[in-house]
Amino acid sequence: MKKTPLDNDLNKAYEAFNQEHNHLRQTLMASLPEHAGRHKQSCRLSRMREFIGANIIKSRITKIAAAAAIIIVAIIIGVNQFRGSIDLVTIAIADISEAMKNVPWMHHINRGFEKGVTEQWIGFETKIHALKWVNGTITFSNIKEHKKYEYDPENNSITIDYAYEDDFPSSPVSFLEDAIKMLEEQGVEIITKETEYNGQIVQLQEISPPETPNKWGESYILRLYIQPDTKLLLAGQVKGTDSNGNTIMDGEITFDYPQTGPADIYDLGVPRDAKIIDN
Amino acid sequence: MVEPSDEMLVRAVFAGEKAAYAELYDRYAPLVRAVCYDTTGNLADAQDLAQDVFLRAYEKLDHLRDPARFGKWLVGIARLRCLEWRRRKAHERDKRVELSDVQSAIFNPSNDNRIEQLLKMITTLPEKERLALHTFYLQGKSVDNARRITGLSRSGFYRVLDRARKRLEQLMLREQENIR
Repeated sequence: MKKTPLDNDLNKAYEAFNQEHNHLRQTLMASLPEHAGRHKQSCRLSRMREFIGANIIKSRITKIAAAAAIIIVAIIIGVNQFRGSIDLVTIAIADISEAMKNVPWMHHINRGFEKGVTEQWIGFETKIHALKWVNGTITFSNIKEHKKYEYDPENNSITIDYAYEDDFPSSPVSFLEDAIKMLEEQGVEIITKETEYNGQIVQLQEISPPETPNKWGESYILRLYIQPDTKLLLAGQVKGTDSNGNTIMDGEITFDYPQTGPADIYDLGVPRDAKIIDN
Repeated sequence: MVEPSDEMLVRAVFAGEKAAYAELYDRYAPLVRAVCYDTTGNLADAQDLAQDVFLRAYEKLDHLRDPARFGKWLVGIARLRCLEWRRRKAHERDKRVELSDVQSAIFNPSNDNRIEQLLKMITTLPEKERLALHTFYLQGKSVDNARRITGLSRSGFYRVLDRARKRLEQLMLREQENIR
């Protein structure tokens, strides 16, 4: 956009909204602790579960090809600080990233999460994105046609909305790349093994915080199963226990990379007689 | 160093990292103040309202379904809070001092009358155009950031921004002619 005198004036004018910013931030932050405690106590764990099972997966990080990376980041941000070597995971995730650039479709199924998404498809060439949710909601977005369909099982209706370009992952690996950067900053310790998964020899990466249990008495372990030839991620598992050894998280995300995926919302099991609401 | 996304910061807040909320504040407070200024017409009230918006957002953070859309959600809270403020002010109308007097007393950002006029002119634009200007000029001129908050497509955003700028130019021209 060409810079005009109006631009200069607008730049100056908008500086007004930065006035006293530091002082105002201090005041605000000083008034937060009582609320922060509440969040920390009531939301942290449920948000962690939701983080893995729902929001992230439903958000545009559905770029998620990288669910495993998301789990790593979830643990880093939400549960603990990692320390140690980073080289191994950097290489592995970078390899996975590279491999994922070439898949036409990615599909994954989530198990063991109380909320959020149970199944997801991303067609990287067709620009189709479909999600099935625990509560029965189904969404199907065709980004090329800018159409988003959402099935509401309670009302047996399909709502049609506009689908934005940036609701679709521009690359299946962008979030992985972010995750790598974060891992580099935080540090993480990983044990790599060879193991059998669904009858094939795969690389297993076990990631666990060095300070286990963490300050809330919780222990987490993340396992990533990677196909060594294709470098594609086959599964990610996360297990968490509280200080009494009770399981607080036991989730698994399994990936596959089909040649085709759903062509419309009905392919996802939506009844043909569902009412259409076009927005 | 990579700048953490809104999503990461929101997650960190849930994990008890208060500093992450300070970062979200740095990112969005000027925008929220600008949105509030559209209603209040003076900076002091806009600052107060914005503080309240951030407090409310913090309390209701677990209602945010998609942390990647924190900015858009926050602007929604700001609009709601502005509506309440406007209603309350309507009740207090009798007691109110002439607004223009208050404005000139409290808000004189750079002692530059032209700039002050410009800000007032922005408040007369349609809401969509105001938000396009606010997001563009307060979010580092990143169209992607601005689009995330306005919900417009790239071309749609540029169209609205362009319309807002043209309208402002006309208003300024008219103002200059009036002065002459």
